[in-house]
Amino acid sequence: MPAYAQQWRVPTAIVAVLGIIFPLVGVSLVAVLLLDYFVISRIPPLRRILN
Amino acid sequence: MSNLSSSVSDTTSAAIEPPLNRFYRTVWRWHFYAGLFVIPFMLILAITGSIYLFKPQLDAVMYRPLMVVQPTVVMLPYVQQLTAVQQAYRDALVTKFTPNVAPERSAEVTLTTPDGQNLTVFVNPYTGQVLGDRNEDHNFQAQIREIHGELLMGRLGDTLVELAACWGLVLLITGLYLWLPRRNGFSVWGTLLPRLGSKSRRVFWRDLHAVSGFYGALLIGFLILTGLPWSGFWGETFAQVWNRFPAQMFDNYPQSTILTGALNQKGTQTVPWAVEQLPMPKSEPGHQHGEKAELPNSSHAERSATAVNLDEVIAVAQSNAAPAGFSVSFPTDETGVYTVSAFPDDPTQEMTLHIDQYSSQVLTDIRWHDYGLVPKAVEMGIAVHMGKYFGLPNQLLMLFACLILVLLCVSGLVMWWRRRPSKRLGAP
Repeated sequence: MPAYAQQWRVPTAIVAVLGIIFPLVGVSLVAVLLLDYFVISRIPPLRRILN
Repeated sequence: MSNLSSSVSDTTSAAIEPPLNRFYRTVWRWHFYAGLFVIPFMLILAITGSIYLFKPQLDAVMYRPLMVVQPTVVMLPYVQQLTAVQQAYRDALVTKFTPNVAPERSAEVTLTTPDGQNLTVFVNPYTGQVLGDRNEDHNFQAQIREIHGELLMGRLGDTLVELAACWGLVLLITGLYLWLPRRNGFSVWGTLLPRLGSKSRRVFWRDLHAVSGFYGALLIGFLILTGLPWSGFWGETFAQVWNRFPAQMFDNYPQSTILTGALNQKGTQTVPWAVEQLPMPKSEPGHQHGEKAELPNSSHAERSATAVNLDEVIAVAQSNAAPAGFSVSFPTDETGVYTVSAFPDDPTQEMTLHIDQYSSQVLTDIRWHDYGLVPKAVEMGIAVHMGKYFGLPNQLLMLFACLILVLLCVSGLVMWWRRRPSKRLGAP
């Protein structure tokens, strides 16, 4: 396992816990990630603005 | 994690970044974008909140002629005070009566006029003189409260506020991470003390943001967490989970499907948060009260004269040690109940009585000691949130939190504006 994966564990856990305790955070987080993955990273001008 | 931070290189353009630095930048970006979304909401919440905090003082100034009366020796019976109002507002539906809190204060009658306005009518308890009214939907503080809770957009606004509040918590956590001293070990400057004299404007704004954020984090986190129970989605679910009262409490009485929380109309609070999920019991028309009441006792003309009148209800409330400031909500139909509720500054004095409208029997009596641990914490939190619990210092402390919040929003915006890519909007 790469070293940085270790660094991700605790923060990911914190985010997951927050997302579960406050479902609105979880839902909007997933929405933003999906938007980022499917839309923003595929449209170069948008990508430049939001880099 | 901070023990690794000393190894982090300063150059972020390097192709192979140390993982921690990459992580720092990710947190930074989330903090930045979440911040942009949250800032307008937080500004609105902080400004409306600091106004609503001082509602008691502002009301006393704005409505002085309505609220203050010259006390004399003998007070009229409550029924007569009510009748005076009913004669002045014919055809209005009386929903609530609040006996005068102090000798020099007026009694308040809440009613709905035939054209649907919700008014609070102020009546002199000694002379029965109607002093005037206040529209409960359109007065200054009601509007402020509605902006604070739902941005004047109803359900949608409520959800937006809740979303912003939740993300506010994320900002606090990511902000604290970003605040953690990196590189070159710990220095008081830039963490606990701002470098306000710095020649670099960037350092100035960064410190203003980070240092005040560190000090304000607890207070703001507290405000968010204690505000959330009021929210429509999270708060509603939270209330349903934690506000269960033992079923045997109501075994003896038929319950209606209406919850006690229905008495809390927009903008005005009648019953404590902790009892909002409590089902209202039903009055039983069969159990008539012994003596006949002579006077018209409520807004419903069709109600039988054998029902309990307001004076008797208030006598029951007082014999149950209701704290000053309690209100009496009237039954809405034949099986409805009188609800005596007190929502005083000290939440441990809260009480909610449901009283049978025919027998004057107390059907349910919910007080502080009946609340579970979580509702107790929430009620206490709300009292502090609203600046009620320990008087003026409480209000000032919360005002201070609001000011820090405004400072965070403004300094965050300035930082972004100064560091944005030149000639266009975007992330620095």
